[in-house]
Amino acid sequence: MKSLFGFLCLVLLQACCPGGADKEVSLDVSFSGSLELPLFDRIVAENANRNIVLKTLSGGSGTYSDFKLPVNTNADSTRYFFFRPGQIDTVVIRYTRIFNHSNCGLLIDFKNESVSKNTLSASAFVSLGLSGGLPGNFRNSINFSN
Amino acid sequence: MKLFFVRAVIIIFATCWLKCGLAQTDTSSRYALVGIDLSKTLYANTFMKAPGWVLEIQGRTGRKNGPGLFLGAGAYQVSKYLEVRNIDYSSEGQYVKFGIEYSEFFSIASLSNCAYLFGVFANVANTTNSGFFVIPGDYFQDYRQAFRNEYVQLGVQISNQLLFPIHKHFQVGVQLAGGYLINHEKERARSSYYAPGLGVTGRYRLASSTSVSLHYLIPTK
Repeated sequence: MKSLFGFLCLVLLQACCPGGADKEVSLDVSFSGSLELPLFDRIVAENANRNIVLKTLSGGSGTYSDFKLPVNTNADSTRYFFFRPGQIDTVVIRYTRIFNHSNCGLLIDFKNESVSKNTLSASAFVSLGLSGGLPGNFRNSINFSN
Repeated sequence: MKLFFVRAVIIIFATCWLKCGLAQTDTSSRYALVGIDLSKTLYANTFMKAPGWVLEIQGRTGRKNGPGLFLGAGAYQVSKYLEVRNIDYSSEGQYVKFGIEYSEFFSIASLSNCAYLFGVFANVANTTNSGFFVIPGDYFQDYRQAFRNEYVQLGVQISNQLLFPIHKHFQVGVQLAGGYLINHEKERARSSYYAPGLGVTGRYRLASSTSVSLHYLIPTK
């Protein structure tokens, strides 16, 4: 009986995987309250293969639905360009990547997320959380501020 | 876990059924068989990203309805991408299997020299895995981390095999086996790698496998 219990524990232990994401993650950008934001033509992440989808709720400038900023797992920072008529704003997110090898394969985790550069106006203030393959592991909010 | 128990039950029942249901025949002569595994390559290619191959030759000899010896040797080269485990790799190496078998020869209708073989084998493999660990990208390129590992893998196998004659001295073998990996790559994603000689991946240390083989029964006195 003891050996059976030990065997079951061993199997369960082998099934456990450490925390981390097994695919590209993204920063969840959520707006608290109604914020007057400029209408961006598009948002581009440096080295990304396509533009980031950005939807407005009302169709005009001012109110956006929540959106995601993909995080580049090939670098320790990701630079985003926010295009609007006559102006390009830049936001750079820095982070430390942690790669975990486990029985489940390669997983990536992040720590020390911070905004190292932000040329968006102070009123364009959003909070960020890291998600995407990290269930229940929501990160501390990062505020856009100069 | 569920799959593991299903496999274990199948192996146990198959062993009992085969052992209990067969009538013994000629007990006086010896046998010698050489064979080749036909199905490991098929198995490997069912989930490989590129065509691979597994060549295993087998030899066995012993007293009919008595103990015998088994020796097998194999080489393989497979490539694989396991999306679930984010690993994209190639594996190649060689292995030897050896052990003891107990045989029961019998006849079914006009088919003589049918045989049931129960064996316990040791499996020693020299294997090399190389490739990439992958974090799949969407907006960005995949993150790829190169790796290479070489190690000696040890395993044991319990084998149930039925042999049926198809033409004179040629026989087809159907094997149902249970394997246990004594050691495996310990550090990184060991469950992903192909387990040479056992015809499985190392997801579970205990695993079952099936195979089909072709044998030549060497005439003996």
